[in-house]
Amino acid sequence: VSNRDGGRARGHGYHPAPMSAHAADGRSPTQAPSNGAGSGATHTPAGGRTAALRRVERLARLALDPEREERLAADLERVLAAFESLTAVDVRGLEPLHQPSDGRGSERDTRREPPEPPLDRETLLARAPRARDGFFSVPKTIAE
Amino acid sequence: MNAPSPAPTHDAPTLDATGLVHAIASGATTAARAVERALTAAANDRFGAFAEVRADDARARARDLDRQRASGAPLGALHGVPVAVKANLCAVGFETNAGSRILAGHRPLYDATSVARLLAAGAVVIGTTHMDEFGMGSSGENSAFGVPHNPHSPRGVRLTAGGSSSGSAAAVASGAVALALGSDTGGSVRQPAAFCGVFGAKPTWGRVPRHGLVAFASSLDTVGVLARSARDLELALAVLSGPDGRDATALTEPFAPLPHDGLAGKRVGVLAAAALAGITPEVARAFETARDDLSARGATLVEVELPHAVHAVATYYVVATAEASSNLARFDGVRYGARVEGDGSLAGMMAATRSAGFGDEVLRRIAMGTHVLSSGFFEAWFDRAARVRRAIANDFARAFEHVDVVATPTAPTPAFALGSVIDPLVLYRGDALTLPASLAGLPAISAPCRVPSGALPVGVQFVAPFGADAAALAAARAFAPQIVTAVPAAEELR
Repeated sequence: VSNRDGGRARGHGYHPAPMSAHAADGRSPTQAPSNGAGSGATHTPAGGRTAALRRVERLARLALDPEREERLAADLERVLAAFESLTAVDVRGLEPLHQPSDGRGSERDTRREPPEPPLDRETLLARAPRARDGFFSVPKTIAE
Repeated sequence: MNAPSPAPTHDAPTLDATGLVHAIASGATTAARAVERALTAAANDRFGAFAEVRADDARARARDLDRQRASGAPLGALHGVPVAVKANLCAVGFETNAGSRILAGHRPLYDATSVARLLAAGAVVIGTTHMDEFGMGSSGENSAFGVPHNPHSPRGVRLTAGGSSSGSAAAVASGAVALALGSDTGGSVRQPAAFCGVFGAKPTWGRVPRHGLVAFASSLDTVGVLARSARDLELALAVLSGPDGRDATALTEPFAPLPHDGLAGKRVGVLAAAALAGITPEVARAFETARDDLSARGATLVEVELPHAVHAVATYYVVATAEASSNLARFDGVRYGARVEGDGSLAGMMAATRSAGFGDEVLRRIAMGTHVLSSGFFEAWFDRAARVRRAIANDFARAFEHVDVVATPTAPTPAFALGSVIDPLVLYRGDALTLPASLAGLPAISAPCRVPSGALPVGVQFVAPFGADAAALAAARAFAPQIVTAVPAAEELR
């Protein structure tokens, strides 16, 4: 069985650009659509992959030092490039599989259940890095 | 094939859990003696399997269990059996840190359902075991707290115990405990079981409730078991399975072991040699022996194709990292775990906490998962991978029209030396044989193959249809009915 037909798959509307360093517009697997389009690069420039990683850091609430950032950017680029083989699979007619049970046999319906006493506030707050006056305490988010 | 009968001795690490339960029930030994032996082994553990041992609590509980027996109370299925629990399963009294700095010192307020069920059946949790951080790793080396090594390491070399349930596998292989809980998202019970020469069960997704398991990738995570016999896996799964009001994904249908009628007449699917091209010669030879053993026991080997399995590594590392990036968002320095204040802002505190608290492999996966879910990349990566995942599951469904179980080597290599594999991609590819069953949610059992004397352990994996854990167990039990000999954790226990 051969599924090596990335071209056909692209024809079916899957975002082709970020998938391949060899895509027509030259975007790398980690370049955001906005910062690489039309650059004509066939491989990811260092600035590109670091910019892509900074976007990830912002989304994932991370703040890495430059050395770690560079290492992670290089790893991410290499791993994604290795997984580009996914583009070759013909996925037409395949529904995404998000839960292997597909609903088989599990209790998906709401059910009658006697309420149990919850854990008390003091016990829970005792595990918190900072707590004050019965609440979790975090840095101020509203300016005075 | 008859199950081995329990040896009538109380202290040798030759007893599996089934044998130990019989010995305690019959009065040949006591829970207190069994627990004392396990505690001695854990205290002298030269393989670094244990993260934390709570000896006094275990002794008190064992005395309690012995009193219960003396009073004539009915005995649980695991009455008096010392067990170890992977450090990502909540167990009251223990530190559930999942191998991560960000959870250092975290002591849960409740037991995981799997732990609660072991306790309700009479087991004694003596300790927790080291693991790759959040279950992310195949060598045990991604741990903030300790890296176990393989009890089968030749003199002068430290081999990996596998991962991520590295400590649980080493604890069982050393005979310190007969049973240990692990978790298996992409092979984290099966691969360490194979590397350490023991049995490992990754149940059907949903078979064992995950409440109290520190989540990594929810559509893949399973709670699994490591043991020195296949019958012990069956015993443990019977205790662990069943619906749970705290986990809506838990399967409602009961787990029912099959009669032990062997492999005669069973059809075992095997892959063509080309589909196993990545395995080492040692693994190939061991698997050849395994095929001969299956045939000798009356099984018919049938060649099956899993044409999309070649994409399993890519599919898994897109789906699992995406889910991990979402699950690990909860570690933000607010409600529990560590906190680093950073620049004094809320976002700065969270970023500083997470960047300091997560190890490199976890960061790699959060970065990858965040990327494949992000706007502009979601369809090309995450959605596409979820569809290829469907193709992998469909391949299995087609194969199971012709065979009862599918057998493959569990891992492409035997255990490798600690520190010898540092390229994440090479480690990811080492999961190639366990990932297809994980993606499809299927039950899979790793059992030790026969290998030449002095050779490293090699595992064979039996994969069964969704929900058919009993079929995978029956195959493993008929294939390898023995109790694996332990490599004692302390020289003096030999």
